[in-house]
Parts: sequence; structure tokens; C-alpha cells
Amino acid sequence: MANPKKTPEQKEYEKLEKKHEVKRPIWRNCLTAFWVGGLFCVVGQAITYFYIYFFNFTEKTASNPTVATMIFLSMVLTGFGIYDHIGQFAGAGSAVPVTGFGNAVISAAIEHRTEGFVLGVGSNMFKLAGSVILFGVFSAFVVSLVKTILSYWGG
Amino acid sequence: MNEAAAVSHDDGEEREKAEQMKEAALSMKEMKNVCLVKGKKQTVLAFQVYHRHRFRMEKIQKDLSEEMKKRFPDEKITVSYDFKIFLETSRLIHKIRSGTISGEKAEKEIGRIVRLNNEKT
Repeated sequence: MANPKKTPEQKEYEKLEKKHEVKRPIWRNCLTAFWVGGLFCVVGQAITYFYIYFFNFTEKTASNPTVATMIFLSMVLTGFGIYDHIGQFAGAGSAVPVTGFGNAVISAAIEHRTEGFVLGVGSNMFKLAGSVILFGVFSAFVVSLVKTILSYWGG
Repeated sequence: MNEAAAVSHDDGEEREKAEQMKEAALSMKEMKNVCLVKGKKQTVLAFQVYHRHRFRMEKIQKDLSEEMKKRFPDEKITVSYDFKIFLETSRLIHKIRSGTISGEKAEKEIGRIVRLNNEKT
């Protein structure tokens, strides 16, 4: 284990580092993430209304094709290298919505393309997105379990 | 946009009953718009609520459904807050009013709207 006590030189260096370090604009980042994420939601809502108006989807059933379309769009944008710029600019605003999932899948596929289709793309495609699926399914299971128990007790 | 129409005898007794149903639904303070089509066997009632009540739409739908059952026990009424059902009901009313749809086809259309409302996935 490393020695937790810092030498005076180390402390001095830390002070110097803090002085020169570029501070992260947290509030600006939050605001950017908020409005870009909101913009994605507006696009998603527009796609939902498109499916409701022009196809036989209700509000309940339109969510499935909407999610699929959003993921497809983000995959195409990642393929053309546009989503990377959006990600750089918006941070969590582009990663948290479902479009971030599409980006995670395709960017991993592009990255490991040189290692071959099976051992490269096939095995690495879901390296990042796999955890999203796993914890998404698991948390959905836990929430539904809690809801079932509560509604059973509540009558 | 509050509209009601009856498939058979749109100007007579059926229409009056459809109007009564519409007014009964509109008496709830949350209601913004109501569209209702009354067929021979079943009735479709689609509604929109004021935006501040949108989080409680499921409960409003349940309450309205119970209220309609109480006030019109002989009628089979499908109550829905779904926007698609509202849209389809509104389109059907316009077709009935303009006379571009026959009574039989309108009945079939009501059946289709009810089936659409019951779809889960």
C-alpha cells in the first residue's frame, strides 16, 4: 500500500497543479447536456407523433418503433463521425438518452474492425453496451419486483 | 374540439344520447376535449385533459369509465386518453358528418378503433 502521508514537496506540487489546472465548467456542461438531451427528446417526440399520425400505432405502441428509429439514427450518425462531435460538445446529454446506446455499439464495432469480423467486431461490439443491457434488465427486474410486492400488499 | 356523433340516425334520438354522453364526460373539470362516436353495439369516447393533469391520465380514465358505466349502464363504452384513439375518432366523426362513410363501414371502423385501443405491443 502506498504511504498516505505526503511529503512537503508533494503538497507544494499539488498547490502548483491546482493553480495552473484548467477548471471544468461544470454548470456550463450541465446546461449543455440538459438542452442537447432535451433536443433529442423533442426529435423522439416528433418521431412518435409521426408513427401515430401516419401508421397504426397508439401512444402505447409507438414507443417501440421510436426507440428503434432513434438508435438507428444515432448508429448512422456515429458511422459518419457526426455523433462524436455531438458527444464532445454535449457530454452526458448525448450519452444518457437511448442514442448513447447506439453510439456505444457502433463506435466499439468501428474501433475493433481491424481485428476481424468474428473476434474483433463480434466479440467487442457489446463490450460497453453489454453492461447497459445487463444493468438495464436487472434494474427493471428489481423495480418490477418492488412494484409487484407493493401492489400485492396495497391490495 | 368537442364533438359527438352517432352512426345510426345522426340527427335523431341516438345523436341526442351521444350528446348527453359527451356532456357527461365534459362535466369533469380535467377535460379539455372530448370526441365520441356512438354505434349500435358499442361507443368510443376519447378525451384529452388539460396539461397539468397529464400525470394522472390513467386515474382520470378509470374514474370516467366508472362514471359512464354508472350513468349509462346499458351502453358498452370504450374510454381512452390515447392520442391515436382521439385522432381516429375525430376522423370518423368528420366522415360521418360529411356522409362519406356508410353506417355499416362506420360500425366496422368503431370495432377497429376499439381493437387498436386494446393492443398492448
